[in-house]
Amino acid sequence: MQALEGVMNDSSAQPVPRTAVITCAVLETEIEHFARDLKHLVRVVKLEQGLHNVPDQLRVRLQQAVDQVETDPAIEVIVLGYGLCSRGIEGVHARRCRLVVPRAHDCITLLLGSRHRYAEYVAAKPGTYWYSPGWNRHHIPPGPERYNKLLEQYRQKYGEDNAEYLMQAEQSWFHTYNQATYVHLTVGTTERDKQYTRECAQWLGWSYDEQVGDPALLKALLGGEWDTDRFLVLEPGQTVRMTADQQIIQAVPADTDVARDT
Amino acid sequence: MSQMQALCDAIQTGNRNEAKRLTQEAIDAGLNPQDILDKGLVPGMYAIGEKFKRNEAFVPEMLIAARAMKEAMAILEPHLVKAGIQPKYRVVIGTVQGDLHDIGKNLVAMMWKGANFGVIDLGTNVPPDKFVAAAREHDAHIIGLSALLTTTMPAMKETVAKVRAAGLDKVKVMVGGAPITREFADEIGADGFAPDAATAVDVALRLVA
Repeated sequence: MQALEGVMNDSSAQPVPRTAVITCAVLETEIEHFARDLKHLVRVVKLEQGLHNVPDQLRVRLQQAVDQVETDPAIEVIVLGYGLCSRGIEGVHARRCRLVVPRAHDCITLLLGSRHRYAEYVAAKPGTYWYSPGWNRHHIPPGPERYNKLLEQYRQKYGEDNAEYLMQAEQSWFHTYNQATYVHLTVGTTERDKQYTRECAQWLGWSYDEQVGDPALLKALLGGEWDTDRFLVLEPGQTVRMTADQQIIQAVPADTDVARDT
Repeated sequence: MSQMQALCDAIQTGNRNEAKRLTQEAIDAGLNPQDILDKGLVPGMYAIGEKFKRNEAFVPEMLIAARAMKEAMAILEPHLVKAGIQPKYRVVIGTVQGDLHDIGKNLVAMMWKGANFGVIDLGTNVPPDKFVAAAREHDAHIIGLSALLTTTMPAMKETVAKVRAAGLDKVKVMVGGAPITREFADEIGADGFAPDAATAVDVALRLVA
């Protein structure tokens, strides 16, 4: 293992390598909160929420962020505040630093604190749509506000007849869901935000649930406790690839073609 | 512009009233119903599917085109039947267990109907055994599996394994959905993979050939 000039945290006897975090803005509040007293975290880079909707775009933007961070010689490790995120992180790699990725499908795991808790929850309730402080701030979740905004957009673009149909199609998709679950780490959580989620649930005819997550996973990610059960640590030149099992991701050489095969 | 080109455009732009009117007009003019399907409706869906592939069209455009196609098909179908044109192949389609998304699955079902496949749609959140039972009951040629979430991809793997274990040897399994790649399809032992609804027809035809 290469020698790293780390920083001593007050709470830790082991030096933790100087680390940069690249995170989706959906987790910014939580990450800023738990990163506050960690001296080894020298930089937090945020990318806007929603990039996973076009996974190729997320891949490009993340790679640009990694390349940019690597130009700072003080940084030894880059951790990602991302899960697999619609496979948008596959192919991302560092040339000089180690890259740490949580074994997670998406940010909900980082809020719940464990991919096993996530899997158990959605196995019991597959009709769950997740709400969180970051999600409610960065996108308009299913509910009356979103309905009205989208209807207006569709009217302008596709005409009245098609707009109504598209809303029905969208609503029928939402009818297959039956629960709004507000997940949070008590950071950035407000009564108003919970109430907003409850109102969305009521409007959609869904039940409402609240899950107070466990910050342990996020703290370990930021704090340098990268056990192989919860994290994948990539050496320079390696990238991440989906495994479609409980491990979620594995390391492969970065020159492996993981781009979409069409 | 020819009548078939106009019909193709109406489908492509999701103008369902125009699509229905032109389909009826073509039938009244005595055109062969198979030609109306092959030269008007299907190319319209193909064209919008191609634009979708190139990120020039998005899900709403696909949905309104599919609705126009569906309504024009409803007018055309009795005439296809009258002309003795029956589906040659049967396909069972559904979204795998744990996954409730159906837009992609519905688009593929529509494309297959247009290509004269008999489509048995099992809906969403379909357990592996239900795919197996339906394939048996309908003597299906193909089972089509859809998944939108990376969390439900293991259910796709399990379904393929169940189909193989059930001994449905002549049934081909096709997979697709936003996170699915050819590599994953190969890994789980699927017979075919289509990255989008337009390609799903070509792949299905190749599998039954």
